Amino acid sequence: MAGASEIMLVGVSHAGTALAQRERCAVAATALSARCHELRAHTGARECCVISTCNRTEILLAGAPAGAPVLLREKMFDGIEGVHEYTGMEALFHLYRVSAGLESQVLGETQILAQLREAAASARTAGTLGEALAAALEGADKAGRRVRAETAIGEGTLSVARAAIQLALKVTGELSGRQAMVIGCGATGRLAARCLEEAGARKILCVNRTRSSAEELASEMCGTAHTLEELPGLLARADVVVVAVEAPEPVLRAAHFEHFPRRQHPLVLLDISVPRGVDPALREQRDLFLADMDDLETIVRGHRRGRRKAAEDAALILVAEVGKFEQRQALAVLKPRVVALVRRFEEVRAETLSTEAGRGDSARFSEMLTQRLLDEALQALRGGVREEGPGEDLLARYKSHIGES
Amino acid sequence: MKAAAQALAALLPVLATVLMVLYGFSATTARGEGARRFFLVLLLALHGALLACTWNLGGVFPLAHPAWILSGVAGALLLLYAITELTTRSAAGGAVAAGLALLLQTASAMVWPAVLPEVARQSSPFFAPHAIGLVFGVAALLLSGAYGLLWLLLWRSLRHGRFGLVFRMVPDLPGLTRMNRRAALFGFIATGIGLNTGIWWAHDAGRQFSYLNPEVLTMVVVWVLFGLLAFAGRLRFMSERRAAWSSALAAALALLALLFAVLPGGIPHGAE
Repeated sequence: MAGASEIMLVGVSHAGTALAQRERCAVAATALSARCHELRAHTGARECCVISTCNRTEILLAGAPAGAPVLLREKMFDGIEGVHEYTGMEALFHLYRVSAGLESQVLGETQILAQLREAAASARTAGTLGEALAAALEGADKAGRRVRAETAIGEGTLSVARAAIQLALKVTGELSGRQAMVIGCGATGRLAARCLEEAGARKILCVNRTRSSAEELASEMCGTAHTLEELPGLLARADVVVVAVEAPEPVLRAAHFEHFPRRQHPLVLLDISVPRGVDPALREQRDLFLADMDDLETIVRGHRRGRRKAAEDAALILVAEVGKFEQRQALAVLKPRVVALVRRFEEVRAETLSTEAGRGDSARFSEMLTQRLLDEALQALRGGVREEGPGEDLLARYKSHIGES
Repeated sequence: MKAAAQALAALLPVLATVLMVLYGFSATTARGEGARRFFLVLLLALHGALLACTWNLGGVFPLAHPAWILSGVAGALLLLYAITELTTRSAAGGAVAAGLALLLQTASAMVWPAVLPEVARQSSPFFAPHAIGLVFGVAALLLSGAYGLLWLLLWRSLRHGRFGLVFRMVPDLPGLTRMNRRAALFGFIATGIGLNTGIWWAHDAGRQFSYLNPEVLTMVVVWVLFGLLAFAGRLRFMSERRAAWSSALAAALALLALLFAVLPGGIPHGAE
């Protein structure tokens, strides 16, 4: 194990890559394990973990050869703009920031923690998660939870689904008395349905490719279950439609609105799917408001500005946690040496005692003396490692990573 | 008294500017809200004082001169806005209402008579309700137009993914629609009273009356348009977007009618 230095991260995110390009390299949750396996073999890395959310697709590698990032770019991000690449401490800082929600569209959102855990679980299933990445992801998880517990970053934060519904409220006003629909009954769809219910929507139409998932969500939400085939008829009844599907092609197209009846209120389509679940051409449709993930980026910018202070507090926690990670890694490296040293000290002590045997008080004194020496030596060794904790240098490197002077 | 009226006529545009700036740029804090309320109430009080001065000066109902009509519409618009803000607890459209008041009050100050005009005493009992009805009607219609304009601006911002100042400051679309419909309903009723009493007044005065008169025709078209808007919720073809467009258009027409009424020589039934 060699600490942060052997970790590297290559990927794209909402910060530098447009949605149309991000959706090209998104990995479905069901394909994460297979992708981990495939990419580890392709790059020759020892460990590999794929993180794929609505806002990012990032590949974490450990023990990879120097040319691995180039191979990854060719395999995963060919022709994609804004690909970022971090190695060593930079990669670790980025991962911890992602976990803390500092790199999220909605600053401090909590969904990312579950998504990172899911990514780790998929890599573990694929057998591509080793000690280095497991420790890094575990540390990131801990840091993420600390940041939310100890700073104001999590106060009143919005998930992507919540931000989307706030946007819908701007068009529909109150949701009570309005007909809401959720297309896609996965984790994000469920969250969206809960947000709709919190906002006052009653009897949500739950639509899914398979009826069983729709029925499950409908029973939770006191809604009604439908399949995608029923969409044309249902759309005319809806006021707000949240699309949270995992599909390679849009599930809502212009054809669905060809014979759409004239309506008093605009229909709100919120597409929180990546790849997009609604044909972008529908933006031109009259009396229809379509918002996708890129639109949410603009909305949460103000939210992010208001949380700058919390982000500064979070930075200190992240630096401390990265320092702890480094300590743990250093201790892990030293562990075999310490064990050997203890063994050697024991040998020396036994040897000394045997030579002093039968000398009465003197033997007792020798035993005490050698024991104390041993304790002192170990204490000094452990203390020395601890003192190499996070300091000015680590904070300066963190600031340099996020582009602050 | 004359000097006081002139001073007030000159002061009101300045205060309207302050009010517009406060609504447009002051923080949404209790202090900012207090300052806005204070200036709104002050403006209304000064409008009342100006009305009393001109009434006292002329000895006739003070809406028989273009300057007084414009000032009256400005005051009525602010009064209606204040009622809307009080009942809906939303300061949306405050900057636009203050801006319109500023425009009208400035125009009024520009044509304010240096010498008190010779105004014929209106003996008909229909003149006052006619003038008040139309002044409040036009003010309500202008306010409705402002809400329609805000609706269109917000809708445009949303459609183009621009979530800046308009998105943050303007309330939700249904809220604007509600306020628009209220203003349109009030405007429809007030304009209806103004138009009908105007017809009776013309008959009472034994004068020729023609619907082809530009200001009368424009006002009748506006009245019909706002009638549609007031009941847009029951009309299937009148979507929220169409209603917003219609109110903006009708407000522009109402302004045009007002212009016809205050143009030099265009005071056909105000001071004849």
